[in-house]
Amino acid sequence: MAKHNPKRINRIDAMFARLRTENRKAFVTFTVASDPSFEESLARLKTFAASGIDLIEIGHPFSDPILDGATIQKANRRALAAGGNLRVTLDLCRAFRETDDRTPLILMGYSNPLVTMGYERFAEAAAAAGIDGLIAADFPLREADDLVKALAKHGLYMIPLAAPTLEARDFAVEKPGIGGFLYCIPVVGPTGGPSASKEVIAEAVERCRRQSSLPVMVGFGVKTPELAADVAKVADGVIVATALIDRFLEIERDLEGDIKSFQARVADTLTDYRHAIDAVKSA
Amino acid sequence: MARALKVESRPGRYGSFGGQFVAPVLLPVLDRLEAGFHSAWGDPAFHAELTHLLNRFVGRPTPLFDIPAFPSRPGGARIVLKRDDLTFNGGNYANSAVGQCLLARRMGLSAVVTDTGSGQNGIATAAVAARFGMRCTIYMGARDAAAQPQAVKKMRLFGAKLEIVEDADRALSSATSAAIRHWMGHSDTDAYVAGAPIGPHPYPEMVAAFQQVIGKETRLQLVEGGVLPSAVLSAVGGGSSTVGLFSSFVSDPSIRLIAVEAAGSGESGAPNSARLSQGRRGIFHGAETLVLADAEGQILAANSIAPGLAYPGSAPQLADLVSRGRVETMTATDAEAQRAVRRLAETEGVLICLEAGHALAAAEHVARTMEPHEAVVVMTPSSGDKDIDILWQDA
Repeated sequence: MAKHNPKRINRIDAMFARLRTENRKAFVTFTVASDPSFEESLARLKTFAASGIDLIEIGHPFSDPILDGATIQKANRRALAAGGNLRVTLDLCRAFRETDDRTPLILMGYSNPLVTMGYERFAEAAAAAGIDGLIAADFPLREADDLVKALAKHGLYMIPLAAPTLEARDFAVEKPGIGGFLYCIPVVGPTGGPSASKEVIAEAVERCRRQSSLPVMVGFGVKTPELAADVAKVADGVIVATALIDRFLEIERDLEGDIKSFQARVADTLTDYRHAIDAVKSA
Repeated sequence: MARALKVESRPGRYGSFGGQFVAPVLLPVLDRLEAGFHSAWGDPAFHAELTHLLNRFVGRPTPLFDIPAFPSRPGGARIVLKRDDLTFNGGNYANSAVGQCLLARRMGLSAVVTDTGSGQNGIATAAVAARFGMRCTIYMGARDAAAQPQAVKKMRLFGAKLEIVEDADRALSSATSAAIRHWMGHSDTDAYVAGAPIGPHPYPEMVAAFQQVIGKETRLQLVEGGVLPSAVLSAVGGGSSTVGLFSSFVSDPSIRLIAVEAAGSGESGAPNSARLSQGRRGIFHGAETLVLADAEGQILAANSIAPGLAYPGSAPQLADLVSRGRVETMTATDAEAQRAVRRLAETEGVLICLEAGHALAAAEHVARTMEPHEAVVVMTPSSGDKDIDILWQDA
């Protein structure tokens, strides 16, 4: 396996550098690997990258997604039923990297599969699969010393989750292996919950900026292209997860298995958000 | 491997187990809870009110009780029950429900949320919440709720709002996940009441502190009766009564501490609840501990005839005590537990819960290997009233 080359720029950093020169904001979405199948997942990742998604968060399926609302819980269940797990998720990322070496991939999920694999083995395998960062929903930085060390060794970032109620020591930590961006959560509660107002979002982003120099992206409760545009006015990126998963399921039901039209409609949906987000820079 | 050998001394760690593996948004909530608990625990007025409620509302102290007619063969050590089945409302769960609701009220919170498997923790919390005029929301798996209809009605009689969970195992594990999701969205008004010393710090420490009363009473009662036990046994679900009872004996190396796990049907490969003896190191429901999980780190559904034992995680303190060899583990099957409960009812006129039946079945094996002047103590966390429909099925 190739050793981490410290001179290679992490794809997340490269993405933000590029977007800054283009005066654009990042558009990010989330999908659970193997939902509904490995092949369909791979096709979806490619559609995302071709339809204006700048960075993809890939969920590694877990039996007990405790911090997720109903939509993502069900996505996890479908993925497990299709044979998904952490190992298969790494395979999926490796397959995606065969045709795309630019779009940053962030693994998102729960800590038990990471502990089971072992942090060092996990970090090495994730780097080899072309993964750039990790969001661990139930793994706060105060517990993550060993994991962060392993990630740093292999050139990956742990992405800190930042909420308005958190003390700076719980998200604004400067250390090798922590970076990429701050994942700003303006509302409390599981994923797929109510949206925060744009004032609350602006305040949450402002607080992140006071504590850290990392780019700030906002997720949780970003549902419509309009709200995505509001977020893009204040943050460096917009994360839309549950709303898009729900939308894609609706499209899937409408089309009853017509895969080609499905990918086209997914692309159309993403384009709506993309345009709303990109309209912000000229405003 | 190096990690397994490393012993950490941070707060909230039991050896290498424990910690705070939660969504970061819960960290400030846990920090406030930790400060609130330590302030209350150091306050004599808090202890005075706690003791008053334990004595007058819960019905403590509970007796130790000899069961000479129970053993199927003569000889062997005498078996003594610690009878928390004689408390009101939820057996030993009342100890920690009273403590945590008192603490929540002291911290200015107006509501409590909890989860329940056998119904006992739900009943305990609902009763205390009623007494304190606090709103109470209880999550219960659909399978458990169907098996324990009386418990469901009792919680509702106390005014609790019951949320039936259809997810995943439809049992305690998914109820806990759902209760924690509720708490994440309502932590400014609601306290999460843990039924067991599981979950993120400070829950294991806090629940263990509120359950210590079991061990303290037992030790005092044994001393008064001039008995030094050779072994202390308790069935392990979440571990509340086990940690509570063991707490007063853990520093006596001459006393064997035995955690009894549910073997389910006992058939090889069938689901069980034996995570202390057969589980893997993992992170589940907020703590690093021993869990039932597959080779990919997916949590496995636990199974037992006793709903209070069917949980895939374990108390970090017990995980540490088992890993260090201080606590032994044994298993008992569904059938062994049922036989023990029925024989106790027939020979002694005492109906204990199926959870305790597991410990009693194991105790009989242990007692047989001992001399008649020795004694073993068996924890009885609650009564068998909740299990009557399982125990007595008309043909």
